[in-house]
Amino acid sequence: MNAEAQSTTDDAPEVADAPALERVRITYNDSITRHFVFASVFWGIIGMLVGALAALQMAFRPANIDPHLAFGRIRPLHTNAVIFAFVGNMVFGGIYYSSQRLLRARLPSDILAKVHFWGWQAIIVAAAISLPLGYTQGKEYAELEWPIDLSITVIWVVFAINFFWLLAKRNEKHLYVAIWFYIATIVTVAVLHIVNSLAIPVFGMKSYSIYGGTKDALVQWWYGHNAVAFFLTTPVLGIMYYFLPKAAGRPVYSYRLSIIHFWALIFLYIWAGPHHLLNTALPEWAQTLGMVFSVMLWAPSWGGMLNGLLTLRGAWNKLREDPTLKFLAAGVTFYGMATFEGPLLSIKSVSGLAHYTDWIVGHVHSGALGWNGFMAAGMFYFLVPRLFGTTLWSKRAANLHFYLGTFGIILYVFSMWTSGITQGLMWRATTADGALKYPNFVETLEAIRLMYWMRLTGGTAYLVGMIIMGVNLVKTAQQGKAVDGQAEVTVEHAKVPETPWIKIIFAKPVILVASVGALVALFGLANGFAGVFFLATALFVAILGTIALTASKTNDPDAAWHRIIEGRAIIFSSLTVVAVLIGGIAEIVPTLIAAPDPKLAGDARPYRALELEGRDVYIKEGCYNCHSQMIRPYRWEEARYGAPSTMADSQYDHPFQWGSKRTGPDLAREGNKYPNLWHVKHLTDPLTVSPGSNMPTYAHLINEKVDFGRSHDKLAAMRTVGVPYTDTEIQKAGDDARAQAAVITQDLHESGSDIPSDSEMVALVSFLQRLGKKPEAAKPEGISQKE
Amino acid sequence: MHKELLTHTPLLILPLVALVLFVLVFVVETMRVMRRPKAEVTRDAMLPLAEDDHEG
Repeated sequence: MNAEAQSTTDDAPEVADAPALERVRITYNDSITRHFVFASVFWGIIGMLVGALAALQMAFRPANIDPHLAFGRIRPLHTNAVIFAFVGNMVFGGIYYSSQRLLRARLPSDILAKVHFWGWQAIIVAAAISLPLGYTQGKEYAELEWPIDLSITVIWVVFAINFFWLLAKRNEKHLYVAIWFYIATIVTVAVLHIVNSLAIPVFGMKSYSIYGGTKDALVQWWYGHNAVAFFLTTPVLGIMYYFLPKAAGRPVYSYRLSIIHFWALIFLYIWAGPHHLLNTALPEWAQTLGMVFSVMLWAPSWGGMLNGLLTLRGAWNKLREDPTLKFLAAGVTFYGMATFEGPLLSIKSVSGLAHYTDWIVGHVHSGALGWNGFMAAGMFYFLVPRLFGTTLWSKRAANLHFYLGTFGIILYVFSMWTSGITQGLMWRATTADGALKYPNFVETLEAIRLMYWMRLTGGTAYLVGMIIMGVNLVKTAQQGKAVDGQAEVTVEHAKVPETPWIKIIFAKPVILVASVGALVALFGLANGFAGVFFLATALFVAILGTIALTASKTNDPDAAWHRIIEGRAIIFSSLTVVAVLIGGIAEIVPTLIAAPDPKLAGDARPYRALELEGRDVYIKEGCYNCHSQMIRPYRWEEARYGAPSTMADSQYDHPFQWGSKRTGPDLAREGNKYPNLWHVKHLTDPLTVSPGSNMPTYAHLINEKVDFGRSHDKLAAMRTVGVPYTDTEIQKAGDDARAQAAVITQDLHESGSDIPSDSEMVALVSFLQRLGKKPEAAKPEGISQKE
Repeated sequence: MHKELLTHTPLLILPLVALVLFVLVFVVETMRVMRRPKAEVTRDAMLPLAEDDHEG
């Protein structure tokens, strides 16, 4: 490897004990950056085009022209394309470019880099094919089925190997702060992806999450929130810390602040996931933790934002001329806006108004379009001319892109704010006598229709800007020639003795933190006087230890402890993992292993085979993208939907289907609200029973068949993940499904509608009729009699 | 209060321990970073500004 490195002169000083130094010319692997940059632009346009289609479907229902392209399947395609294809490729390109330069070394393996690139593109293509076909795990931002999940893991490991190999062979001792953010990204995304994707495969492209109900909700939003944190934020912050100083021609405003920013951010971010589950059946303590840490997150986020913006001090005039700086500055500003809004939305009372509404959609897009999209554009306008040894083809086009993009974001975000707050207020509005003022859910939808058209206009403007950028970058590349950067670096042949591991592990800061942690743990476990004693001792040791450490001289080895670990990539990475895992473990482990409340557990019954088949149809069609299954403990929700949801309601839901958005009403207690025929009519042509509805037609479900021969496999898989099916229930799953389907089919026949009993329509109706109801205990031996 | 928190499982002490550890690490880290020699910090901050040398 490192075939491009060429030794030049050996000017190592002839001093005893000094390391032998050699000047070496290296050529960076910029080809991989070129690949990722153009892949990002391509997928960005595709992903946003799909987003524009989804926005059109929300404003204009007939745009749901085909079941494969209906909103429920398109929305995950849009989110996956934008997050993992657009931002993913952008991040990889930025990391490869900046890491080689910050570490003063060429990427160790060109082959691994190519495997990474083509493997990632293959995963994107697999997602683009499988999601419209309905292959989904039904977990937001983690929809891809298990074979694709495994591929993601392999390709991520390939990326990690190349990156950490680069760290190992670097010629710059200090790890610049951008590298820290990259390390945090690589290790944390690996942990998040593996933990959240754990599932039992049933067959080919079908699996069930090993987690169920509330546990799955907590794990999913721990993942979902931190996908935002560690896929969309930390790597882009690393890119900010490299490209912003580079473009501005001056160092970051405060390197000290960047260090504090890093540690505070990665520690706090991981805790914030439960703010997606406020006012739900999640235990109160977990909700409170999520809220508190989300509010705390405001501080490091704004520390980073201000550090970025203040880097431009004295260089603001360059923004007029330089599109790169214009986009980077606006991107950082949008980061500040989104990270102000995020903690605000995490306050339980604010969440009560905003959750399930378009406000959240607006919030997400201010971050995605403003922060990720503009940072990507800034990076591309900086990189492409350099990667092709030329100048930007058109600054005017770049400026047009900027103004179109900004206009698009503003229109998008303001329309969604208006829409979201309107929804939230209308849902909760009551008359003087306490009844719902808008009992028909469609009324609230009609009120925001205009906002959906405005959103489409804003999104389209942004998309046009992206296309202009794509043309500009291609023209730039065409007018130049691919060139790889070179640099002369100093290589140390005799390594300076490193601080022994044992000294690092038993350094004073580590001992202090471990001691205080142990004393606080003892406080929690002890009762009475002993507890008070341990707490007092913990506080005493913490205060005294902190004073002692901060007072020690800077040439004290312990005082330079952080400096030492900054140069030791493995230790640094390990500490990053510890910082990240603390939050995850502290929140998730108690929920995972806490024994279920016997009163609630005794109440719950697993789905019957046909209901489970219907649930799979519900997941396949992406119904959770528009319907929640979680009634919050508010009076107006109870009046509209029924009793608040409990943990037991979704105890056997693998995966949970609480949802995060209500374009349609909540379905948690939908069972037996309407006759079977109503559901068939509603699914076949929603407007016949719900005029003004936005729901696509699902008439194709009448012709789609359920394979009852596989029902027992599904029940068996469910039992593997903890659902208490008996052997008999599993063996007779197919028979039970057919029997239950026959009953529904007969009822429909008597109502004047003939539908095949093995159709997905019948299965879905059985599932909808089950929601919120406690069925009789399964009686496999007496199925025929019962039915 | 901690007893109420730990009613269901003693593992709920974990968030409490983690919060204390965070505050402690944050304070120590901040103090140490602020006392880092300026020359060292300046040198580290300049790392991204190194330019490529295409001509060799």
